[in-house]
Amino acid sequence: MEAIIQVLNEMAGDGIVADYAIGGAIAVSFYTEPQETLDIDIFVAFPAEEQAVISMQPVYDYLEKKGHKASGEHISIHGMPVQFLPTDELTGDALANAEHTTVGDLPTRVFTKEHLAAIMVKLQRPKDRARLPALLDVDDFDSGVFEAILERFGLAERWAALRRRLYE
Amino acid sequence: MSEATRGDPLQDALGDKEFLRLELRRMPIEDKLKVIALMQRRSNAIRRATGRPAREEWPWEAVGLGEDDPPPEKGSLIDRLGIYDYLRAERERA
Repeated sequence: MEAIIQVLNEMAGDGIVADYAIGGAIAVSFYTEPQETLDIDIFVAFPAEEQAVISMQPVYDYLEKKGHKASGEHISIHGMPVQFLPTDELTGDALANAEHTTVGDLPTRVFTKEHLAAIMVKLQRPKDRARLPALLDVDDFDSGVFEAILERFGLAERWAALRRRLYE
Repeated sequence: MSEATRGDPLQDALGDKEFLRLELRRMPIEDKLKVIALMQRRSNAIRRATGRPAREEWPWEAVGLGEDDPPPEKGSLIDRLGIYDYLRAERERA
C-alpha cells in the first residue's frame, strides 16, 4: 500500500491531479474490518484549468510512462489493480473533506466514514447494502455529520427507506 | 461478555467473534490488505467449486507476503488467521 501511496503522492506533486483520495471498499476498510474487493478506488480532482474536460487519460499516460500497465479500467501499480475515478457532486464533496491519514510514514487522504456511508446510500448496490452496517457500527461514526450530508445531497428519504429495509 | 453468560458455549463463541471483529477493525491497513488477499482466494475456491469463473487475485507480493518478506510475527492476528499457513500450502502445491 505504501508503494501505491508514494506513486499517488508523486502524481499529485507533479501536478497531474490537483488532489486525490481513497474511496470505495479500501476506504471503508480503513475504518472497519477488511472488506473484500478487487481493486483500489482513487477519486481524483484535476487542476482548475483542466476541469472542463474530465478524462483520466493524463493519469493513465503519466502512470504508463512510469512503467505501470493499464488493463481495462484498472492500472496495475506494484501489482495492485487501481481504478481512477472522476468525482460527481457527492464524491467531490467527499474528496474536499477527506481525512488526512498516513500509511506507513506517507501522508494520504481517505474519504470520511460519513461520506462513504452517504455514497452507499446513494448507490445501494448489493455490496453497499452489505458493507453499510459495518460502517455505521464504527464507534466514532458521527450520525449528525452523516445526516447533514444526506440532507445536503437530497438523500434523506433514500436513507429512511434503506434504514427500514436494513433494520426493521 | 457478562459474567452471567461466561462459560456458555454459544455466548463464548459470539463473544469471541465480536472480539475478533474488533481486532480486525483495529489492524493497520497493510495487514487488512493481506486479509483481503486471503478473502479473494477463499471466494475463488468457492467459485471454482461451484463452476463459476474465478476472479483476479492480488499477488501475495503486492500485499507484503512475497517469498522474500518475513513471516508474520508469531501470535499476531495475521498469524492466528492462518494466512501464512494458507500461503505455505499454496507454495507447496505449486
